[in-house]
Amino acid sequence: MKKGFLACVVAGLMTVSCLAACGKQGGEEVIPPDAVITERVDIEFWGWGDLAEQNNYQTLVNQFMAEEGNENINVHYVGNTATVHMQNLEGRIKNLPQLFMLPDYDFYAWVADDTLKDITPYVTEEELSAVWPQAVDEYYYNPDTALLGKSDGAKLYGLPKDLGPFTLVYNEDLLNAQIAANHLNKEEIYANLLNPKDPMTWTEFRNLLKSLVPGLGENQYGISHYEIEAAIYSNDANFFTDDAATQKITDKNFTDALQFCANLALVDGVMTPEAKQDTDGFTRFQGGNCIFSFMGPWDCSQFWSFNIPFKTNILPVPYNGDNPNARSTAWVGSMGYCVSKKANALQTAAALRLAKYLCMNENAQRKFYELGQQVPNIMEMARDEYVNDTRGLIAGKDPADRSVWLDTIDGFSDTDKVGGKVRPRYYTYSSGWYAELTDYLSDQGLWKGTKTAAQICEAYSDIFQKKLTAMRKELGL
Amino acid sequence: MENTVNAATAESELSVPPQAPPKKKPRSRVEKRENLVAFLFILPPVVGFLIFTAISMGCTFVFSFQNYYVRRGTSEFVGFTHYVSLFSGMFKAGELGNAFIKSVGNTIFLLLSLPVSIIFGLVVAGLLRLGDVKGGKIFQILYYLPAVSSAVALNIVWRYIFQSNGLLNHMFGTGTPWLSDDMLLKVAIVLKNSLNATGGAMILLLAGMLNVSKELYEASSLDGAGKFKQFFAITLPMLTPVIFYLLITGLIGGLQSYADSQVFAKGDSGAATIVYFIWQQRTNGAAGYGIASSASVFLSVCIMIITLVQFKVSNKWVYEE
Repeated sequence: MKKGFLACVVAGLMTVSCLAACGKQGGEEVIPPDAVITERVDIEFWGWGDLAEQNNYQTLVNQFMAEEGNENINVHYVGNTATVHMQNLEGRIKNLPQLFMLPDYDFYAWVADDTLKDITPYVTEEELSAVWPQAVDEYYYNPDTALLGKSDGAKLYGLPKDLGPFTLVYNEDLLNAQIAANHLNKEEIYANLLNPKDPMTWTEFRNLLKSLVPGLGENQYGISHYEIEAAIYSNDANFFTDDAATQKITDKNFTDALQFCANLALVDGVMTPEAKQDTDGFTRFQGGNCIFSFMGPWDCSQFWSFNIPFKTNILPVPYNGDNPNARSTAWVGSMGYCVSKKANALQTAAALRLAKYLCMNENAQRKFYELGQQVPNIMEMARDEYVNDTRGLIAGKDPADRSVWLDTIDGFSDTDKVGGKVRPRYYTYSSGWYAELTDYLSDQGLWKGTKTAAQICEAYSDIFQKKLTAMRKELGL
Repeated sequence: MENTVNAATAESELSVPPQAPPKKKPRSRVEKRENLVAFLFILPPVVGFLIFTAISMGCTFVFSFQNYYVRRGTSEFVGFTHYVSLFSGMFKAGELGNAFIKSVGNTIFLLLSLPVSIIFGLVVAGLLRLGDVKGGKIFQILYYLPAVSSAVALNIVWRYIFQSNGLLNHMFGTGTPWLSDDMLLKVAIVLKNSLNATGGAMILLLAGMLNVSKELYEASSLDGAGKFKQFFAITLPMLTPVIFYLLITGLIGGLQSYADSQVFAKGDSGAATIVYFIWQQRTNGAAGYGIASSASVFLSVCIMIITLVQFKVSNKWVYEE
């Protein structure tokens, strides 16, 4: 009898505590994610990734549900490939899952179209201060001005899943073999050129590649391909002005960057020529057929699970040493955990609790880096535990110079010459223009040398400008 | 006399009062129940057709005149803008119309695999029929295997065969850029599709050959016709219904080709088909859905016209008993 009475009192107190924690935001009920959830709540969480990542997410979701205080939260996780995930999301637009992943380059359209919940009241500044600000700031949006980024009046519409810099990677075994085969000075190369803190200039990189490629096999190359965004950003150029209103593809820095990429194959013969670019560059690299390529932290899981039989390490992307304003700038990608605007108060609280768990929880972040999926979101963990592997969770696993990724995320400083920048598609309402532009470059023969980058960009500039204008119009700008 | 009888018969025929149409027999309970059961059996496909085909087609037609903001759930009427944009800038690279016209050209080029596969199928079926090949059944199964295999899996395998360091170049010691040159990429797809579709065509043509009456061959032999003459005078005309069926289904399927662009060509614009163009528009904002819908309507109309023309023309070359 006493036990029953006690149980009633406890249940009553829990309900009161939950209700007491409730507030109102713009007429909408707000239940803080840390409030005690006493009634059962079912939420759907949709994510993307390969099979290993999906399994990992399911494990973490199970862990989350088993944690004390989450007994009443039932999460149904659905994982898919990137394309299927986005198609399914659009197909379920009227009944979105309560929590879902959104790539940064689709965030603008989704937030501007009023499909995402403003989660500002659910997350404290203190909580966010532990996470890379570059990642968090991507998910701020001001509905009054229709502008992205943290500013007065901007609200938070997502929590970052990760922040992934796409930097240069090299096959250490093949590199060392070519250094030996070509009688080059290994110590000098490693000290002066392959320095994780001091990026190479374009000229240094071209010369290095030219000195390394003699003696490579028939289908082997110095570099698999070149990320054009890395080249453009590292020549102080961009696709458009900061407000994405005016095209800048005819700027000399922009076309020089594209021409630099093309000339690696056309002039120097160190990059896979277009005729052989029928395999994904990274796949070619994984096959041991290139000395250099590009990779992001999420690629580690593939290297580790497939036991790639060679050592790899990473470097900052090269920059144009002839341009005084150019700095080594890789593109940085991100995904966000977003909550459907239609989620009710309880579902929102549960979804945000899960999102915070995945985004900021130490155990979750540790699991992610242990599986080679990302740089930890928690800055302190990334700077010490991850870079130095203080817990020995990734002992002996490549790349050794993980600090390059952190330097890229962290941005430039007086001592740091390495930085990163979000992909250009993030700044526009829709993202299809990027594929159209790169298709156009290929169709017009940039990689075959039929036309120069300057000629092609000049011919495309009006079309591109029309696209930018149309995209701004869709945002009401 | 005869005339008199005929006249009388005609008169008596005329004088017969017109018969009232036979009264409809009221349906019995069993009949009604059978009809209901039959109706219930056909209900699922009818509902499926209505939801996934008829209503979808209607919506597509409406969307083709609209800018559709899928996430906002709103739309605006834009008239024929999307139809115009499909064909504007046809000759200027980088314009939408140019991409669409290219996709139309690519789709038509890839249709070349249709006659090639029918010819291959005819040859293989003829050899199996005439040659009395030992283990003919095994050959039939082998040739037919691609028809029952996953299109995606086949495309992935073929990609390995055609890539620069793939099986084909390795076998011939060449370095042909099958997958990176626009024209060679299309040729590779035609070759691949021709070989993939040979089995399906072969089975149907072989069945058709087996249905041709032996008497026709015997009679023609007596008239002195050789095998060659028999093939063109008897076998081929008798197979025209099968060839017509293969042409119709192949053409409709070919015009809706998608896996070739997506899986085999990995989105290379050199092999982008109309359906791939439609799929690509999803990333083009509010106008994207409208453009995709207008391209879909255009494709549907083309398929309908081509099919109707084929049926009309079929009277002139398809044998009917």
